[in-house]
Amino acid sequence: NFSVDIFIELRELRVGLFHGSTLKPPPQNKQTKQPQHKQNKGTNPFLDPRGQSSSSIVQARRTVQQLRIEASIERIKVSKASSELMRYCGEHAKNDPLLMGIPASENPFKDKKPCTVL
Amino acid sequence: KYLSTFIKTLKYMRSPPTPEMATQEVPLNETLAHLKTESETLKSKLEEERAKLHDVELHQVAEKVEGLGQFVMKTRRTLKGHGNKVLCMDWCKDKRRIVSSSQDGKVIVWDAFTTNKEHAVTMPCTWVMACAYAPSGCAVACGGLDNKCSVYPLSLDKNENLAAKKKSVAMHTNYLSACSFTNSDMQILTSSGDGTCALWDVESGQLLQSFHGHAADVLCLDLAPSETGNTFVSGGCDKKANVWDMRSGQCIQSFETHESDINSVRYYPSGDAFASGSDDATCRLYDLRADREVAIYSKDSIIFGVSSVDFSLSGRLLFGGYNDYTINVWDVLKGTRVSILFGHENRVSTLRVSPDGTAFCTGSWDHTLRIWA
Repeated sequence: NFSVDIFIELRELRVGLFHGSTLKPPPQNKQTKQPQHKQNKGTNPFLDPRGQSSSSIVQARRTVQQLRIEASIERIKVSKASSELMRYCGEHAKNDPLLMGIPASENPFKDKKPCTVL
Repeated sequence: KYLSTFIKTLKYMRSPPTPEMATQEVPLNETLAHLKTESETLKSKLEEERAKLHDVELHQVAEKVEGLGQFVMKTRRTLKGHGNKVLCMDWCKDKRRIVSSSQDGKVIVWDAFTTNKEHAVTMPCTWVMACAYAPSGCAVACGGLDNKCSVYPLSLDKNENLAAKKKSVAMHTNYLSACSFTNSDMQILTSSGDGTCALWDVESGQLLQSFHGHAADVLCLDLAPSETGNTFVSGGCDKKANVWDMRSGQCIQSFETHESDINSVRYYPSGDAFASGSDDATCRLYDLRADREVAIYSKDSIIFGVSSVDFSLSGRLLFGGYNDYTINVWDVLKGTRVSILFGHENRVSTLRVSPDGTAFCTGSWDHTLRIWA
């Protein structure tokens, strides 16, 4: 799956690289009547800088909004957070079977020793 | 790796407009540049704020805690029956039933005490990467390369054809990587290779909320323990772990310290932190209230990726299933490894601790599941 993704990505980049990196129009065939502009208005998204820019702006605006939200949350010190984690562990340790190890008689997965009925 | 670097170079070469273009598009480019600057400023401010509160390391605070002794954990049950790689498993709330799914499309429900198979369903697709048990124990959900999440009600009649009652709930545009019921049988949360997570109503199949923000495939998710409210965490191929508000669809916190894909995320039992496991061979602990990574669980000798992680009941132990076929057990507070478990004959793909914490189950590419205690 990984190699398929790389192959597709390489293919797309190759197209973009040779037709879009210098933002020159693609090789025009004789049927095309589009006048040559400095600004390319072709339908190829790689070549339409205006198209590129407006979607980049939308994306950038979203990123800024997201970062504003993340930057504004309330935080506590690591020392305080750590001691709370430790406190939780301490309070619940005795009820943790995998931590304490419980005897076979209480753990349905552990084999019980056979008992003899006298 | 070479290919990735090559691609990055190609992307860099396919660069911004030439100067002539710029003069004709000044308004648009200025706004973009302005936004990018603000973005960078906010990012630095975020780092600054986080750093201010980084007064100590977790393992330093934990020095005064008693160390853990030797652990004796071994395989108590081996569940055999899958014909191919086991990809996912989940426990039923009754602490004894397990649902598991595999590459060949089979979904099996087991009684872990007796190792008997109770139900089996063949999905119409391969690579069933996600499966989950409903809280009531009366249904299971699963999905994978079919891009869907389907719910199968479990019948008491063992002869009944489960596939007949199948209900298609979620529809993504790429593979389903993980799914989980919320507090009831009525809603399912899914994550997908299409880069989104989504919340669905089981009965109607309606999309209730979607979560956008990851820049690549989302590989895993975990719901916060019910007491802590309506949030969940997701991890993806963009190396980010995002915490989401289920009601608004908003990403409220984001963490990007891993160096590769995040394969598994799991909340700490109190809900104040979560752990992640990644292809970069490390597990990390992120505290939500300090808003930062507070511990890394790694060793130079561990070079294979972590596929799945889970905490013991008290949160003191972190179990990690690795691609080198082992399970490493970490002391969450001190950051040290307390045990390494062998047994599987291929990579461990999934790991969950039972609801009452008496055991944990692992699934592997060696076609088996093991119960450890």
